[in-house]
Amino acid sequence: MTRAEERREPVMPARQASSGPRSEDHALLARLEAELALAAALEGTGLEGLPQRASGVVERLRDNGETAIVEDALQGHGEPLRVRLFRGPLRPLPPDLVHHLAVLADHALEIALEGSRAERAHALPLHLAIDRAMHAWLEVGRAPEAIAKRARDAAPPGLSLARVEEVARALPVRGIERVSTIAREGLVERTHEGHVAALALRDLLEDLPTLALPASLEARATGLVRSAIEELASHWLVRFRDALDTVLARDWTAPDATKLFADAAKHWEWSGEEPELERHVLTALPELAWPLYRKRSMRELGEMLAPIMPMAWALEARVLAARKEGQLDRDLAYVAPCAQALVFWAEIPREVDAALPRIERAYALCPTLRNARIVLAHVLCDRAEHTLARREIFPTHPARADIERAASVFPELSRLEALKKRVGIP
Amino acid sequence: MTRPVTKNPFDRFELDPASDIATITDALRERAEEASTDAERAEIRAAWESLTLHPETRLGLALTAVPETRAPIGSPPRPPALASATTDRSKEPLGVLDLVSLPPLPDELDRSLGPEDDAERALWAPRSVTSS
Repeated sequence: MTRAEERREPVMPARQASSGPRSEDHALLARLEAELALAAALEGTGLEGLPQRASGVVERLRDNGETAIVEDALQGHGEPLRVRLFRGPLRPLPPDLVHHLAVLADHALEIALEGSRAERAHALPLHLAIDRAMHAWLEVGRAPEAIAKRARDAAPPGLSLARVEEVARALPVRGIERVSTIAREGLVERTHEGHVAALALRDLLEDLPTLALPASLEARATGLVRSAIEELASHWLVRFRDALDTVLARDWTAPDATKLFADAAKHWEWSGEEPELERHVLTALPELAWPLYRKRSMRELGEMLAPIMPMAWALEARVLAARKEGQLDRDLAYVAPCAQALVFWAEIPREVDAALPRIERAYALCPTLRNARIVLAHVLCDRAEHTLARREIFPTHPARADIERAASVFPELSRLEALKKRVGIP
Repeated sequence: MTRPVTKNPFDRFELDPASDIATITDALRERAEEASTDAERAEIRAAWESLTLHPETRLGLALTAVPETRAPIGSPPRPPALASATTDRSKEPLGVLDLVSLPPLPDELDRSLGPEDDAERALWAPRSVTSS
């Protein structure tokens, strides 16, 4: 062969004696596809920078038989996979997959809290992100052995086994702790984030018994949620009591009282209608309401009551429902203060037709409350007098019924005697 | 600095949650050397401290980092055996030229070389050793 011929001859790899792609080649292809699918799903969410191992969630979804959404993502349609990752069911799933989804839920929560508007539009709304983070980590707790093993594998040297196990046990309530912190941080400023977190904690407290979690986890989660809610309430109650004492310590005016209760109502709404706030505010109400009532400053009393009446109605509804179920317990001591608030409210309107339904509610809630009985009897007598004054052909029949009822509700009412005579009641 | 995608240093700095302290330290030192601002360096230092000085914190972060659940992909394929002009050459160690397919010489260049003449043959011929 000449030199030129030798130079022209390409150096070619020999044909490999091969029987097709190896298992390693398939694994590599699957990994690359998983990375591509995840990238399509997370595009625009602000989570594009997650480490490559995050694509393991796609492999686990495939293993779980959820291949169609992965194929869609590989075709450039990432939405179904994104929805699956952030909103899809959390059980029953293998522990590895649940762990991935819980970590993603954490990230989605951070985006919902701190992401740009565009990122938030692609991820989850805050209330869903908060809910997802708590539930996803609780689901991780369904496989305590898997967490314990992961913890042992990742444990740094020098950490005792007891501490490793404690860190592992705390993992399933991580979401609850995060959400509790969000609520606590939003307490003073009454932030939207804190409000959503407080609502979510209250909802979770109701949901926990229905989740069929392992008993120890359910107990731990319930304790944490309850103490977080109580902490939110007690922190505010201290502030409310201080503010109330400040108002009472000086020559206060009706606007001072109105401002105090308006703030209380705002906080009650922010807290997700926390019953403890209702109990406290309604118990404190008479201290400020009676002075206005005695001065017959009914317009000011009405303005002061208006913002907190939803609190009274909420407590009223809970008491009536519990009474129906025969389970009245925690609210028992607050039935009378609640009914008294309803009595004050019934005294505001001048018209009998407006006052009567209000006082009927107070009386129905607490028939033994003396003020409810007196005011109801008075309103019934007022209506009887109006009926008699209309000079209708047969006015005595409805008037008589009102007077008889007033007499049964509060027989000691002084004006009853004259009315009885007018309609012929002995 | 833009908002990091995650606050967990294992995810933020792409560290394997199963890494030992030396590996974490090396990786973060590299990051610190590449950092362009004091804020970034401070952030890296805080991450290093949380991962190396507080074992319990590190474990918590490892458990809440993106888990590694991917199937191992195994070893890369064996390098292909190479064909060559001579049997002897195939036994030689591989060089860079063995790993690429060289295109044939362009015709113009080939023509410019012209036929091999005596001078060229003499040039490529082994040198004889002459004693003076």
